[in-house]
Amino acid sequence: MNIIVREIRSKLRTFIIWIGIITLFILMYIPFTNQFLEESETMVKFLEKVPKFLLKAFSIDVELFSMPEGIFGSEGMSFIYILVGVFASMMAGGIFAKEFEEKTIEYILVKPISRKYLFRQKVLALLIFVLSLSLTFTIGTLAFFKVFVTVGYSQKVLFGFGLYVLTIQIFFSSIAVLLSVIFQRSSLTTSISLGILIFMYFGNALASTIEKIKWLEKICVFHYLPLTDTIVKRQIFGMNALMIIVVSMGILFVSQKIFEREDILI
Amino acid sequence: MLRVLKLKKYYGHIRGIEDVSFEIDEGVIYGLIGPNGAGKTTTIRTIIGMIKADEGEVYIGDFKVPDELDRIKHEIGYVPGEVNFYGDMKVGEFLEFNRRFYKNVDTVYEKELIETLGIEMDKRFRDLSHGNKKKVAILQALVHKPKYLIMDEPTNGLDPLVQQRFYQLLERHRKMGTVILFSSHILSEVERICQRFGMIKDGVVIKDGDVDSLRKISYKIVRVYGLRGELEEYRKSCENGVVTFHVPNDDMRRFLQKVCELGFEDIEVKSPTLEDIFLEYYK
Repeated sequence: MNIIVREIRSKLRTFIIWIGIITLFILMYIPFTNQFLEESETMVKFLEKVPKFLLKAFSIDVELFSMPEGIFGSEGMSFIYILVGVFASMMAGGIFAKEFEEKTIEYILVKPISRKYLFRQKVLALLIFVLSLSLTFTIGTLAFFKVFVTVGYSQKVLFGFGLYVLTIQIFFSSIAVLLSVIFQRSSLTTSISLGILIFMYFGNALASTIEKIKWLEKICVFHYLPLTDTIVKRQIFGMNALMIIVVSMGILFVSQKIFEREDILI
Repeated sequence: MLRVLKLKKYYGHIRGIEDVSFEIDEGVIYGLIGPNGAGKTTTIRTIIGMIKADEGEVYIGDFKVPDELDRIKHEIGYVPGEVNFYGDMKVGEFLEFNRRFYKNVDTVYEKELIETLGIEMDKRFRDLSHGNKKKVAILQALVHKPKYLIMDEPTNGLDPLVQQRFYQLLERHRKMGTVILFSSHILSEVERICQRFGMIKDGVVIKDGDVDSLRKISYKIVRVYGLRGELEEYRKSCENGVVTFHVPNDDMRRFLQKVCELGFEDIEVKSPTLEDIFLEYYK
């Protein structure tokens, strides 16, 4: 418990800033939903002139602009994916790699706790942050829709967005934890995990438009959480999310084993 | 007892330690002495389980490191060579955080340590000077009265007054039966507070034994200006009228008496560097 409390206290300010960023970002979209819907015809005409590749890159489907969830769920959610991916990578790097980089690991490892316990406490602290951000996002989205959107919308889809946000965070935080225990340096860990995030995001967008690299989308986590299909078909890809979470847990388990055995070279 | 048996550790192709063995009994302060890069920190980090040895074994009490280390960690106190605690924490918060790792920490003793070492409680750790960080490191290592105290150059950065108080604290813990490993590159410090010593050079413990035997191989460099006479029995060199003697520590009193009898203009006494001692030892 001591470790969890310490991690939460030390990262609380960063977390609050991120809560603010996500909330403001949601506020940039949802209050304008009614206006967008009223003027959707103009928007559709404009979008028909935009290259299809660009539309796919930002999960924009013309059909989405006739649905209230679609306006936020297309471009807005695409940015949210990137934002929460960055948050998760940075938070995981801060909780794990910084302990190596600032050499505090030398102190904590001599205290009467096992490496396994230390690792699990840190993962728990990370999951608390990830869950809290996802909850804030979900509650915020539901609340803003209730306040600002006067036409009918699907709450199920909005819950789906919340689940996707949680899944993306768990996935990228597990990647950052693995990189942290391997490289033991926060700058390297954050850079590589952000690189993977950007690669997966744009890789998925490219692969969906270029036939030759279609295979690429299979390794991109975003492919399994498709926003357009979720909104248009009103279908939550829960099983995909569950599988990604299971894979993430596997990555965390491997990270724990590495952490338990490796030399701490500081 | 702390036992280190034929430890060897390489970082890739780079030598950490080659052959390190020693044993420390209860109530003994063991000084691991060697120049920078000799392998002191690698030895200590292997003992506390931060790195795994390529060969050799470490036992803390009956527990083998690193496999059984978790079972004895509550009995270990450790002062790192470079003190890095949580910079954002105030010292008071840090001590509270540290206390929660142990059952029944003696808070009266903690207060005594705070006063003895002169620790400022309200400052953030990152705002402390090197010496003050070291004091906090000493406190967190001693506060739970460990049976095994492992310290990597603990006096580095401490002012002379605090050093004296620290030596007294160590002596108290020694009398409580604590096994104390103390690394240093200052020979006089090891001579003063340790009962046993190990000399480490290029990753190998080249000599160990009682501190009395260390006194036999340690010496002072004495430069005598305008010496009126000859002192044949001491090794010396002469340049521009200044005679430089290498005088064994245990013979210093007799040497000074003889110099005084002969007469001189000025005298300068210096401790040799550890490298000088090692060179002497290899001759």
